[in-house]
Amino acid sequence: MSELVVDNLTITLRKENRALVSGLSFRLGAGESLVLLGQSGCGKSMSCRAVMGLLDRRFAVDGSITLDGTELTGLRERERSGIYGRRIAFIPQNPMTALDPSVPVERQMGETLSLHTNLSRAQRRGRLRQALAGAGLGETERVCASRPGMLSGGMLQRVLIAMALSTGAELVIADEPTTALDVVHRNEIVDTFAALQERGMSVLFVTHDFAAALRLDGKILVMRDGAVVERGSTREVYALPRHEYTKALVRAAALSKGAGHADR
Amino acid sequence: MVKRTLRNPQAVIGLLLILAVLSAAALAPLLAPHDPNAADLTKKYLAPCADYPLGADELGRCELSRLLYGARASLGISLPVLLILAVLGLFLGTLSACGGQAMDHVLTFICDTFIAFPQLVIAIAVIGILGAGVRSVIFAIVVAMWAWFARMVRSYAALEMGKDYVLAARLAGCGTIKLILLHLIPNILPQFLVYLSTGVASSILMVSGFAFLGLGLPLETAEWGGMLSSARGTLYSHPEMLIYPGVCILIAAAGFNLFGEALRDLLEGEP
Amino acid sequence: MRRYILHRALMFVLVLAGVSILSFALIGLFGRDPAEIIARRTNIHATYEQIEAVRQSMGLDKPLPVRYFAWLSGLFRGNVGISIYSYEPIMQDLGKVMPVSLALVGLAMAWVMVISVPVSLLCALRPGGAADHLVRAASVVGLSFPTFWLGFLLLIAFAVKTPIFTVLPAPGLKGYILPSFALAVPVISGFIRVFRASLLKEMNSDYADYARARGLGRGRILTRHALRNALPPVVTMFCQYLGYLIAGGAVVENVFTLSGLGTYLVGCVAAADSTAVATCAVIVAAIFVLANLLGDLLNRLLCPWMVRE
Repeated sequence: MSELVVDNLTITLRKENRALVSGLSFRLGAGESLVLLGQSGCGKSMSCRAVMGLLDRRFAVDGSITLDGTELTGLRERERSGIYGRRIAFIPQNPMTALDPSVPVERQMGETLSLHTNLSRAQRRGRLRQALAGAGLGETERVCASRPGMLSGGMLQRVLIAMALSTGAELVIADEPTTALDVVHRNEIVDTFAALQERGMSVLFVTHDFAAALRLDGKILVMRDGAVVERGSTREVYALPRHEYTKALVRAAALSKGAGHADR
Repeated sequence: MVKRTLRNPQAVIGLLLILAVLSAAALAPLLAPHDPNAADLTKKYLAPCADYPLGADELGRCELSRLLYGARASLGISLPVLLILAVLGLFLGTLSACGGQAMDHVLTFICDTFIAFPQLVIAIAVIGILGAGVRSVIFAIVVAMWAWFARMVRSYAALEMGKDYVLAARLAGCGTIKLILLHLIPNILPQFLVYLSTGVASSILMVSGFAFLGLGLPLETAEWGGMLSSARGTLYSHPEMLIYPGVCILIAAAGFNLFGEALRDLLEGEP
Repeated sequence: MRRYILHRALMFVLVLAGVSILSFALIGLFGRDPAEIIARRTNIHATYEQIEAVRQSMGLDKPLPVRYFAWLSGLFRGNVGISIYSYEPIMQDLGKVMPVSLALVGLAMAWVMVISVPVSLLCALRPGGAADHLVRAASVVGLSFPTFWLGFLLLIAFAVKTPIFTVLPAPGLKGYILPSFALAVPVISGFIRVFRASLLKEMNSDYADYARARGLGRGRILTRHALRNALPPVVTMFCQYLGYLIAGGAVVENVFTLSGLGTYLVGCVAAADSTAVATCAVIVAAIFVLANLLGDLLNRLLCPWMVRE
């Protein structure tokens, strides 16, 4: 079963010898969800990118990240395609710029599929349309034929989720998927991830939005300045925050909730 | 900014080369062992020796002295050219970007015409009109290159004018000229400096190109391009006469180009 | 789209008009007397009357504006008269020199494509590597090479020391290989600079990042995605150079003793031949403007998603 184990992850900016993330450790089992919560600059996105192997030479990564025992830090270029895109799927923060603007959506999705699977062209076509429907997109034909510039942010995000579905990934990492969205769409997206979880995928969800974390209802890690200040089940942490910072976040979340945002 | 520049190896090499050429130009009278125009046919094609470190050319003139004075000619023309181009370019470019639509259209049209016009023709024509001499060559290069500079300044200025701080300044009552002098030009200056540096390199290449074709400077002048032209006849017998002046042009142009391009990389934030 | 074409067509006509007027103005101010030049060709001690006779027969006694319009109408009829430089019909001269220049430029741009594209791609694959630094330094040096000197070096290396080529132009394409290469070197240098920068910009984009997250290798991202998106500045540059080189080849032609448009132009200016200069300048300008237009159109066609009205 797929288990992501992060052990004592430390990310340093080489030039300034400054630690951006220190001693991050957690486990994420199959079908579980974990939220990395914190404000901008706390290191949650950095940690994500470390798991994805997307940090360039400016950063030094220490510690261990394993997926079912396979060490992910220091993976060689050739080995990357065995893991990333196949077993781990990534949903980047900005769907509008995530895809090549010059190529129609279907071709890009197909490219990923043909890299990771041995399906025939017809099979790929079918799988893609299934995935798009599974991600909650209607008008699959139009979406497939369009270039990214012709689609809205929300639709593009669902395309990215569909990509994660199509390769049958075990773990999906989402970097602030709700930040660019309004409240109604935010809830829809969180529900989509919850549905992915029900299908057996593990979900690693990065956000600064407590409400979204609550809706996902799994475990939570509250981060600040590169370190974890509190951890536990989301509901419990929300109900009984122990760290000062968590208390402040809870208060802020409660305020925005009480301000009458359309919820449920 | 200055510190970062000095840490960039390309910029440093460029600066060193520039300094070398500048020193050669400035100190030529002190460094040159002989008068560059002193012809002595008994010393025709003399091999390098203590008295004539790089030998002598087809008229017995000291090659090293001619090369050193050649730096004077190249820089003596290129530096004034760039100074004039800088002033002209800044003035016309900002005028075009800030002086209203009609002015912009007219100036752009004139720029386009000059840019589409073959540079060599402009240069020859101008030199022909003004007669031979250093001033004509300076004028010729300015006329050939001004449009590129004006256009470059215009596009940068137009970009800056669209920025928020300009709007804010205007709202605060800042007049256009004050805006240009105090805000626009200082912000364009770094990029402009890149253009100036590479512009000197282009000018040096142009000057030697003209001298090579026999334009502008009196044929006896110690100038690298002219020296190459004279050395043509010795392609088979004394090929080294073709090498020395060319290397000088290369070093001079490369110095300014290396520095300019390094500056551009620094400004655009190359990792 | 229609407005765009209309605007460009108008600019085309205006610029050509401007160029032709500028030619006449420049040569008119030149100070040399073309009639005198022609007269002295046959008789070095030509008398004033003889010079005047030549002036009248060539129509050079008419005021400049009149001569301009005479030339203009001649242009539309396809006959602009006799060249003072060569004493042949200008159009005939052009028929002889244009192919030379076009072949030179064509071959030069071929060098540019063949060398720049692979080198830029290799640099973008491993930015900051040893090869990358070497190429970048070499390209700056390449920009600093005086073209005529490069021509000489090539001649010394490949025609004098090792007789693969000849100093005087050989018939056929062989005679163009060295000169076109000399012409191409600065262009290659500039091209690599721009292309490499553009490719790196694409490789640092969000979509390249996400492609890496999906497991695609750098090489594949480079050739299948970055390359296409990196084209616009490069296409523009390519077309600009095409136009620029047509007349800029004078020095190279000189070194390799080719009779191309550059050499012809220089001769015509020296002979104060306004009509020939104007004709050549207009042709060169037309090629330049059309090449730029081609670049724009190509960009619109190849990368329609980048067009913002």
